[in-house]
Amino acid sequence: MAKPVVLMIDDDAASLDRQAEVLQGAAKVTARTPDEVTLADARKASVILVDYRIAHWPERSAVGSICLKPADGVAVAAVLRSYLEEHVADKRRAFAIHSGVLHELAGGLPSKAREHAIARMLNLEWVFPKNEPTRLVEQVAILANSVALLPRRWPGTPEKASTTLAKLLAVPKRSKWAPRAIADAESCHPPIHAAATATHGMAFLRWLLHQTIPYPCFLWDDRYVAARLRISPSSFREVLEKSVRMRRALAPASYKGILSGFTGARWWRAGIEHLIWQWTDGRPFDPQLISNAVTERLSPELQPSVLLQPVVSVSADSFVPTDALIEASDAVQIQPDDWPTYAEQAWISVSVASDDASLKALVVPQDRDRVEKKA
Amino acid sequence: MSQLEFRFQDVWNEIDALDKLVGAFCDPRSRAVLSQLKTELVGIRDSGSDSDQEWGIRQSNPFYTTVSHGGYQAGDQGEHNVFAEMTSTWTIRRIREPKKSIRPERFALTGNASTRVRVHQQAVDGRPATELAMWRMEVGDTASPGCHFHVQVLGERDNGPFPHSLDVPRLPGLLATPPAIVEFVVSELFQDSWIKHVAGQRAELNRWMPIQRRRLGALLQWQLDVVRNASGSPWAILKKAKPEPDLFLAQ
Repeated sequence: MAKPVVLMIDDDAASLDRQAEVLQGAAKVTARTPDEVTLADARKASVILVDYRIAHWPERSAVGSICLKPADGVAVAAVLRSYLEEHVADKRRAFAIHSGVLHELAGGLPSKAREHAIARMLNLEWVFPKNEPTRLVEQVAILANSVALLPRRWPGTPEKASTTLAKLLAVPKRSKWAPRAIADAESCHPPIHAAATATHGMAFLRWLLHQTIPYPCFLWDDRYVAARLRISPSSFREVLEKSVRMRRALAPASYKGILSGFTGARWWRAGIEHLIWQWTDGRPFDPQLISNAVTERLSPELQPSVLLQPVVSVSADSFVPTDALIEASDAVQIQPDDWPTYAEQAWISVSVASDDASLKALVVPQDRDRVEKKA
Repeated sequence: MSQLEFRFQDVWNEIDALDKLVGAFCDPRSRAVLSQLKTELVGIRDSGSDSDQEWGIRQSNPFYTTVSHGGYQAGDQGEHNVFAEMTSTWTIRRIREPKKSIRPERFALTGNASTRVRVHQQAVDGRPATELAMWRMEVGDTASPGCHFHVQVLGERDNGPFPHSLDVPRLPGLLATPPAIVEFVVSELFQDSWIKHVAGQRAELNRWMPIQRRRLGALLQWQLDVVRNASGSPWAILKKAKPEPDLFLAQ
């Protein structure tokens, strides 16, 4: 497949050149200052990456009408999106902001590890922080390639839309758990019908970026796999990094579909459950059998969790999953504003929730009395 | 042979609905039990094995209710602070579809189908929780002499009352699946509050109600038909009657 095109827009020509050079390995980069951008540049791009702060733009200063004065990169992206919707039939294009001040974009929301929420709020596909150039290259390349993977015409029939879903997610067709994986994905309400048809699949991509991959849904990140295997997330990652045996054992459940690797590894929940079923001979929740399987099939170096029912705790400020596993009986379920209803529960410890009025307000009704009692 | 059949999807829906409906009546340590029960059933469906498999709420991880402070009597007038512990064992076999490429939609009860309920008095002042009551709600097999759906008290120890050697009475029962039995037990321990709670849970109730109504309706209708058509002692006929395997499959 040809390298996808990334259109970079920045008011600082020198910075633009530096960043374009960094990205050259991952994509074909078109670097432009705002005034230089043409319809042809934008039409070719799979990703349009706009710098957030656009201060030096003499042409903008020269015009009188405030409607012609986009204040920042978010506004430029909105203008471009609107213009392209009017003039270009193919809507397969991601708009993203590149910023060293994500907290300014967050509008009061916590910004750390919350790019998905900020992007969604700003009607963008993604926002990239400036302080992680290596990650930027990887992510822009993955995003651009993912846009390029979307079919030119999203299928109009329900059957074909489901087939496209399975194909884009790269569900391992021959695995026994493939139907379960598809059913899991479909239970998360993917916009694969009218919304996907109207947006040439961009609604589907956004669903993955904003509402699926950041949360424990049909795909799990390392933490949720570790909790299921009753081991510490850090040891899961450490041993996975160095153990070929462990990587091989878990490989069947590794997610390799569209956007894979965008925010770290993901695993098919159905695949992990299937492996555990096989390893425990049909006793998938037996702690001892899981422990034996982890030691024998993955690695004896993995650090077991001492908890009876480990669950992943989300952070108290940004509600993103953390490496901290907590006992289910010491946890309460919270419902942060953007946490999808189809995702697995967001847990936080009773004591943390009890000490914080704003957290307490997020505790689901069935757990309210537990935080009240504790307080 | 009466091997009752169930649709996988029906039982998953039932478990999901109960998981949401039961809310704070489930002790925090058992929050994952119902979802695990569902996951195990999904595993059995997808296992590729057509032999008998054990499915249930494991003894190593029972379903505990929260403590009822006398709520087993109206107005919370009960003497004890109690909670229930439930485990279950079902021996089931998935039913292969004629076309092998189609995943099985049903499973059959092929052996033991027992849900054990223990009611404990809450631990107080360093004294451990004590068992106050125990019964089992079961579905019989071809050989079972009593009611097909029955309840047995104790019956697991060598000594009385209700020693293992005395496997009567088999009190007639109306409930089959572990989720239905969980609701029964919760509604016993929380006489007033469960009814009030359920009334306020429209969304969950709308999923739970049709499943239970259909299943209870089918069971009662079958019993009514047996009694109406009995040519001897209605009770004796009912006691011996075995339902058709598809009793719970009608939509």
